[in-house]
Amino acid sequence: MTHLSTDVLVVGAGGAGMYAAIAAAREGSSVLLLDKNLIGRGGATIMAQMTVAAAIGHEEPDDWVLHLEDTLEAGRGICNEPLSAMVCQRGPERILEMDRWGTRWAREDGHIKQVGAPGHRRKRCCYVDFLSTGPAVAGTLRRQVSGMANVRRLSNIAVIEICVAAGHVRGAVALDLSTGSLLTIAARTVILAAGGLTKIFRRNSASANMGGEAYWLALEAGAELVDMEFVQFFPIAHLAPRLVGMDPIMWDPFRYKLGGKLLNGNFQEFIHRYGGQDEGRYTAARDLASYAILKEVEAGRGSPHGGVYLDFRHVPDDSLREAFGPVIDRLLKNGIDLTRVPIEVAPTAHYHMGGIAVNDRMETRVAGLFAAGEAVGGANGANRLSGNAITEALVFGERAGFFAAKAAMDTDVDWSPAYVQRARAEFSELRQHKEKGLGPAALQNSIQDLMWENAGPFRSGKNLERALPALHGFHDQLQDLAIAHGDIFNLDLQDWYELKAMLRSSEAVVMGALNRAESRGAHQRLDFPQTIAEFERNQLLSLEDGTMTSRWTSVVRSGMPST
Amino acid sequence: MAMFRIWRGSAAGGEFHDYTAEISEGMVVLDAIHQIQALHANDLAVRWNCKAGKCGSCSAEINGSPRLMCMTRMNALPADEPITVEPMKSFPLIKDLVTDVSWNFRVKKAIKPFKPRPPDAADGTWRMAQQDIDRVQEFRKCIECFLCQDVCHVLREHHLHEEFIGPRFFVHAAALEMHPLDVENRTADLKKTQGIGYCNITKCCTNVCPESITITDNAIIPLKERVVDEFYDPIKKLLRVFRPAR
Repeated sequence: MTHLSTDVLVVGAGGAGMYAAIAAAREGSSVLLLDKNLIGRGGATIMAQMTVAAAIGHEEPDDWVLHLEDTLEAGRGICNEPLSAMVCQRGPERILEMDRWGTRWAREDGHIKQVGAPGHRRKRCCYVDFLSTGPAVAGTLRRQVSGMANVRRLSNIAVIEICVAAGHVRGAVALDLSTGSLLTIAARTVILAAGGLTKIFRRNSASANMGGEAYWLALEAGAELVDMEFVQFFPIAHLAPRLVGMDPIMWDPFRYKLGGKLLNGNFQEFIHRYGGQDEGRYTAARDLASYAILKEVEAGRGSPHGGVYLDFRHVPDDSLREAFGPVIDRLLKNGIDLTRVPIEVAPTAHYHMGGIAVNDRMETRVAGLFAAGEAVGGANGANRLSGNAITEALVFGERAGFFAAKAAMDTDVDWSPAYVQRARAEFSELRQHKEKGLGPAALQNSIQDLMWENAGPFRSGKNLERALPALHGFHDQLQDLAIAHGDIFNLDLQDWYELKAMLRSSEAVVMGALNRAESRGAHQRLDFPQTIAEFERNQLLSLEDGTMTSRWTSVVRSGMPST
Repeated sequence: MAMFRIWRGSAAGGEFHDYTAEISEGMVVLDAIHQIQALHANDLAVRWNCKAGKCGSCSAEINGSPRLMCMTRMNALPADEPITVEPMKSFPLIKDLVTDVSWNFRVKKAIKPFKPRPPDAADGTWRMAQQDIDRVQEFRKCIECFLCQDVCHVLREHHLHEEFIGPRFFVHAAALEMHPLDVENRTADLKKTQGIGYCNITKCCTNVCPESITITDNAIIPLKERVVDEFYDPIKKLLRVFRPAR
């Protein structure tokens, strides 16, 4: 079994993980950066096609405090305010640092161009050019990481357990997909930057890597998760006709710039029937739009692929071109002419507001275990503003890397083969599984269906209560699943661990949603449609003797982030 | 239904296996591969991530040409013959459709990084003209799928991996060299250790680029010109001493 040693171990190499690696390395730490995919290709960052919000004030006067106010307002009262403040205050530094590294934010008259987005009172959203923001951010960080001598990068490595002894992180065990063997890593500190969990839902905008591994690893290591019930569902994600090479989330700016019409399967407008006002412009809130769409589908008035139509046929071609020139061409290449046919859209799981509970040094309650990026919970409360996700990845990444490097200096390496006994025994057992029959990928699909039906955009106590035993039933099947017997690049092995992560994350979402008997932001309970003041609190989940346990805590109110 | 001939094997050797896949409207090759994986070959190794042509993970050779599986629609391929899917040929094989592309990461490390001039403004920012930025914006689109490296005969057939960095990294070097703020000089490396002279501008790389970057015309040829100016044109070289050309 290969064994490696490092000061700081970073799990996940999206935007947050790469920034964490850079920040830790510049504090002098040796860094090991791992990803399930190729370094800098995985995760959500590379998928982001839109914008990055930061109060750099290039477009118009702005202040990070205004950005914070907007973020807190969107979060419906339950943001971890010091974390939100950290994102808003430090976002500008990160944007400008990325600029020095050659990100090439779009410019106008020599300054970085910033545009508006819903919920932001100032024009503060930076972008690279049409649909390229995420790839450009990922590319910049990838290049920066590759230039650092003390960062070692390993691709196709899936971490399967964080080793903890005497209350402190000691390292990790990982599956090396390219050899089909386990890899052990002694580390002084560990940063979990393995992203969100949207892959647990049937309809999602996730990349291959978003199965909730960060949450699973954190829980098993003894850390707490916060507000796991808050999954952001994007109401009008692309459904059909099949788009190639575009983010399914792309329709939002079309919606608010051009005002397409939402029509049901009978080509009738319907938002007004659910208390929304449409009038050719989508002023209806995201949660209401999702609700109305799903209700139409339920009533048998959906579009052929199970969503509704988004119709731009009333918008003149030149207006379309003026607003979205290059995108219009790309759509035409996909055979979609917006002036002639409506497209089909439907709600999809897009982002996770909940996540690992950390303090203002990005550290969990397990000493030496840090988190960064979407994996962190709390900064966005019950609802995230458009443009805050990449900012959060960059800021939390930098902070986690900085503090993890500092903590590593005060920590001795302590490694014992005993730390990996459990994982090794489990792995040997896994290799004895039968080869033919129901495999982990098939069970993943069942989880996605279960979660979509019972813990999706609209929830009820009845459905959530049904989901919990079903998840436990899936858990009991883990030992009986068929696993292919090859060693090299055997995806069944990776899928099996990912399945475990999906089960734990799903359980956390369902339990969180069941306990929060109200509707707030992205969490909508059909049986409790009101927002209730006594729930203006955060819910913490942890594993106590293997059982998921919940407790409530009051919201961490303002306080400036420590430096 | 469509017939697929997928290459299965490891570095030690392998062969084509035949599979069928159910085809639906708008489907891409990666969808079919996933279907085959789910129904007939759970041990089929394939690398993918974003399904949207952004991450550059699912590079392969489809009917003999380097392409992204997630961006190749089934209806763009002849329906009456089997579709072959093979791994890239310029890199060592790991298994089935997965190759070890880490050589590229090592090459990238050897290219001198972005070195900006001191900031123009007190707040640490620069002033640049949009037209200067636009010039290098095209190179920015590279998703590092390495299809251009795969198709390039210098790597694919002549295996000059030690002497030649390939089209991808000429694009990278060009992006840095032509950046309005950059003050580094990379021409000596390009000539001496990075093998730009091996490129005989057949434009194969430009033809396979999924981001339609005009690799040969806009990156490689201007770099070749800089190398020529620097090493073979004494007057230009002299001028450069007084007025660095950017």
